This record gives sequence, C-alpha cells and structure tokens, in this order.
Amino acid sequence: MKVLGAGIFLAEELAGFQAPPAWRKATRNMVTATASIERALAQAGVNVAGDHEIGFVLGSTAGELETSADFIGTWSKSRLARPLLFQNSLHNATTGFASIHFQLTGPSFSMSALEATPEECLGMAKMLIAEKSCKACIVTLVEGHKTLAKLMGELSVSEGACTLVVSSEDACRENGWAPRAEIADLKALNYPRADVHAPLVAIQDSGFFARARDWGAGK
Amino acid sequence: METSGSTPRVWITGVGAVSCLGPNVETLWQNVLADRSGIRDGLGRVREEFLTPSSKNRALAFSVQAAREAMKQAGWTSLGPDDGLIVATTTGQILEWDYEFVDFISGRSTREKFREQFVNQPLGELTASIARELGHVGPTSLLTSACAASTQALALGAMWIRQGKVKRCLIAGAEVLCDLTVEGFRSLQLLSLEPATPFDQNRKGINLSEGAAFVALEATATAPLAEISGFGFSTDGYHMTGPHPEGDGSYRAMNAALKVAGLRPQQVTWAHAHGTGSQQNDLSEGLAMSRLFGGETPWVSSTKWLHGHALAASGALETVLVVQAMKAGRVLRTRGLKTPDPRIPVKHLTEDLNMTIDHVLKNTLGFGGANAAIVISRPGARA
Amino acid sequence: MSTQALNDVITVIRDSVNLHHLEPSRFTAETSLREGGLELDSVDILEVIVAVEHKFGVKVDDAEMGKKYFRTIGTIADLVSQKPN
Repeated sequence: MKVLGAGIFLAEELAGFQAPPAWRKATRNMVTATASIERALAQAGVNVAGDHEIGFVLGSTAGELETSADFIGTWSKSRLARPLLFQNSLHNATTGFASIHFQLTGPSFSMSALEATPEECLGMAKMLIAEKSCKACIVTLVEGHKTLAKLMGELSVSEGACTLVVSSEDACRENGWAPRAEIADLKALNYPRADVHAPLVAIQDSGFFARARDWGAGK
Repeated sequence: METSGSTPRVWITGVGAVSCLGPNVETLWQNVLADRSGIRDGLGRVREEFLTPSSKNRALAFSVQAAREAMKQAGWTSLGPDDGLIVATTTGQILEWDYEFVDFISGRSTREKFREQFVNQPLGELTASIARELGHVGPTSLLTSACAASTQALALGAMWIRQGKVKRCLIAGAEVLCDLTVEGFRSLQLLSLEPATPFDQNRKGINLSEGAAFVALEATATAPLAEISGFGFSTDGYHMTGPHPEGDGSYRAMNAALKVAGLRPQQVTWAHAHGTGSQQNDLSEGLAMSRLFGGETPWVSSTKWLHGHALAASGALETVLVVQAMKAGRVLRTRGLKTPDPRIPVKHLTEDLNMTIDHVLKNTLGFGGANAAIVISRPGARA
Repeated sequence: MSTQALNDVITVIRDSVNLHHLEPSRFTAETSLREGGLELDSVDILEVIVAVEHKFGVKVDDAEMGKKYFRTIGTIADLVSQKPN
C-alpha cells in the first residue's frame, strides 16, 4: 500500500489552534481528526471534494467517549437531553463531521477494533481499493478521552489524530500521484497489546502515529 | 456452487436472530406472517424470556444466541483460525458502564469499581467477548457507522471472501437499548410512540429496537440460502443527522451495488428499504429509489413497523428477514402503511405477494451520511 | 418583552449553540434564527428549545408552538416573558 501524504494533530495543539466559525459544534475529536486530514491532504496534493472515488475510513478505540459521557451525565443529573451533544456522541459523528468539511462523497466507514484498529482501518482501505470502490483512501486514527482519563487517574494517556492518505501502485500510476512511502506490514501500525487494567489507549503509542509523524515530516 | 470467473462468489448459508419478535428466526418469521408488531410504547425490547439464562451481559447474550443459531444452520460446529468475524454495533456493551459512570460521578461508587466496568467501553470489546464465547481466533473487525454498519459489515465480509482473505465469515449486528440512544433520538424528536408507518404521509417517526442478527457467509456452499451478489457505498457529506434531501448519496450507493452485481435496475424484484418512518429518511430514500429505477420502481417496502430500527443491527436483521422471505417466495408489504405519501414515487404493495424473488436490493442510510446497499440474490438467479 | 428577557435569551442562545464568535450587535429582537439571521439548522434549534425550556422553566408542547415562538430572538423572549413568576 502506497502512502501519498501523512498528517498528525495532537490535542496539545488545540490551545493555539483557531478553529473556523463553521466548526462551532465540533468536538475535540472532530477538530483533531479534521486538522490531521487537512495536513495529510496538503502533503498528498490530492483534490478530494466531491470525488466519489475517494474513500474515508476513521478508526477510534474510544470514539466520541467524552461527548457520550457528557450526554449521559447531563441526562442523569438534570434530565436534560441535549440534541447537539447526542448528534456528536456516536462514533461515526467524527466521520460525518470530517466528510461534510471536506465534501467527501465516496465510501466512508467508522471502525473500532481495540489495538488492531490501525490495521483494520488500513485493511478496509486496501479492500476498497482492490474492489475499485475507491482509488485512494483517507485513513484517520483519533482518540480523545482527557476527562475520563482524569477521572480514572490515567493522566499519561495522549490524545489526538493522525491521518495517512493511501492508494495502490496502479492507482498512483493512473492518477499521476507520487507516493512518499510504502506500508508493507499493516500489523506494525497497531497499538501495543492493551493492558486490560488500562482501558484507554495512548495514540502516540501506536505504530500508525509513529509512521504518520515521520512521513508527515518527510522522513 | 461455482465461482464467477476468478472471483469467489459469496453465499449465505446460515442466519440467526434475537429480536423484539422472538428468540430465533422462525419465531420472528411467524410473527411477521401474523402481522404482529414487536413495538411496545415506541420501543422494540427483547423480552427476558427470549434469552437463554446466563450471566452474559445483554449485548453478548443476544449475540451468542443468534450466532449459535446461524452457525447451526450453516453446519459450522466451530470456527477456525481462517474464519472471519465482523461485528457491527453503535453502543456495544454500553449497559456495562453507563450507570456505573453515573454512580461514580455522583459519588455513589468508587474509581476502582468504575474502572473495572469501564473496560467494557471500547466497542471492540464486544467483538473480543463474542470471539471468546465462540472460540474464535481468526481475523475480526468492527464497524460503527451507525445505521449503515451491518450492511457495511456484510459487504466487508463479502470483500474478504472475494479477495481470498477468508473462506468463511460470520457477520453480526448487535444493539442494546440504552439511555444514550433512546433519550438522544428523543431529543432529536425522531421517535414515535406508535409502531412506525414508513412511507405514510402521516408518519410520525421511528421506533428504536434492540437485538442481534448473524449471517454466515461462505465461498463455497452446496445448498446456500442466498447470495450476496453486490455492494455499494457512498457518503452524503451533507448533514450530521439528516440525509441529503434528494437522497443523492443513497442513489449512488444503490447504483454501485447493482453494478457490482452486474444487474440492470429492471432485474431487481424487490427493494427492501431502510424506511425508518422518519419524515426525512423516507422522502430522501424514496426519491433516490425513483431516480435509480428511472421512475418505475420494483416493489418497495420497509418492515420496521414489525421490528423497529435496530440501528447498527438493522441491516443484518433485515437481511435475515429478506432471506426468509426469499426462501418462502413472499415479498413483504410495508406493514403500517395506510396512506402513501404522494411525494414519494415508489411502488407499494397492499398485501404480501407470493412470487419468485430473484434479486433484492437491501438499502441503508446512516447518521453522518454513510450509505450502504447490498444485493441479495436467489441461488440460481445469476449465472 | 423586557430588555432583561431579551438579554437572557441571547445569552442562552450564544451558550447553547456556541455563537461566541458572532458580534453582540448581530443579536437583536428581530434577528431570525434561520436564514438571513443566525443560520441555525434544525438540530441547533432543537438545542435552543431544550436550553430555553431548562433555563426558563417553559414547556414547548408541540411542533406548532415551536414554530410559533422559535422564529426570531424576540419571539423567544415573548414566550419567556409570558411565564408567570
């Protein structure tokens, strides 16, 4: 699988990040995921808006955990069910937000497979390209769980998003794309095996993040 | 059954379901024939007496019961390391931690107890739990694309078989009713207290339901139930919870599914719609279907009056129902439909129709604008 | 409607659907919630309804009432001002 571009956006960057007004309803996951996609696409130089042949796969182990917890907490305390919170609380809300922002109209999937989430997301992209359902695929990994981490005393867990824009050798040739790197082993991009007593994952521990960081920096 | 060229075909050899209409597929089917809705007070709950007593959590209990039914029908006594398992869910094992979370933040529980329960939060834990119960060690995956998830899972399983990753694959959709989804959908004013009336001009909204549906897929089969002959996907890129008003994305997903199946629209016997009973969904979807079929749709129906909207499990549950209907040679009408919405240009049945069903287009539209469609074909209907 | 009611409603709207990036001068009694005004979509308006109900103790009984009172900032302030103290 060929990599056309890579981008990362860590949660620490949010403090200095000026989100556009159109992102007023965005969760932290939505902001980090969308910002990481922007960086990856800028590097890849691929136009995606309205292209039905650009796929999108978003993976997260925790999903919109904070928003769900916020909804559940608010409901339980004050019987206030907030529609905007709910709209943002399902895993695929992050996928929906990014696809609206980039006008993604090809196949899109939301996935969650514990430590194998990176491998499964890239595997999905590979299947879609092999089946010619798309010619290139945006694959994004995102985690956001600061509040829950604090509640559980897991303060060292990192959060943010990383994106790879991937394609096949044939599709690169047909579309005049110049790959920057190659992924030979999808398993190498997984999280280390999760400790059952540490229920949150640190995105910086994943191989996906490490490669996205290096390839994004042109290494 | 033969392969088509060098690409393996994908056969459905077993189905299983636990739903508000019963503990298994046969009971579900009998209730369908008797026009019995499983919706009470607007929700489709799985009654306790439907479940084999166990200490499993609800999502897992549904799943294991439905999985065993599907595997038994398929003749699978166990799962091997080369078999796949693909699950679709929106909330997974949420009931194991949502009340615990509330107790913890209210000071009624300890951090240790909360952490212990919270390990069930990642959706992938449901797949891991199912795999443990079934003794499965092969490849697994999990889709969380809300209402389109299990249709996508069926398609992914088909792709795994077509691309030679596995020869057999168990596809699952599993969902539990919980405060998050029930109060969430209620806050969006999408729920109806009565059984849903899809495509009706007076339709008032959807009924959330729960359960699990499993479908066994294989590359080779001597007596398959049906074939997954096509699949297609698209994204609206339009709104977080409302579909594109003209159903543009849905049209493209259905069109792509027909292309993969190598079928012309006129060859579709029955379009089994997502048809939730919401004003927006049914209109958008109906317009998409009318466009796909050049204004002359085949029979179009939704069965959600019977079993509700099982969110991520809906595609799989409705595929199970389509397989039963195909076996019986009976196209199901839209129960609950009294006055068809004149703005929705699709062809409705007033009674179930006994006929040979060659190809069914099963359609789903998901929150976030993810659309997925599959084509289910009768064995022998395709060369 | 009173100026206090109007200002309270403006605060609830700004907070509930995160319109803090808009200049205060954009919020007047005549400002429409939808096109040509605050450009809120249907889910935003549901969020505002829920926030107003919660903050001011009013109840929006049905869609008709929602359509009637959630047109402009001023019509919401009218609803809120009707509630007996």
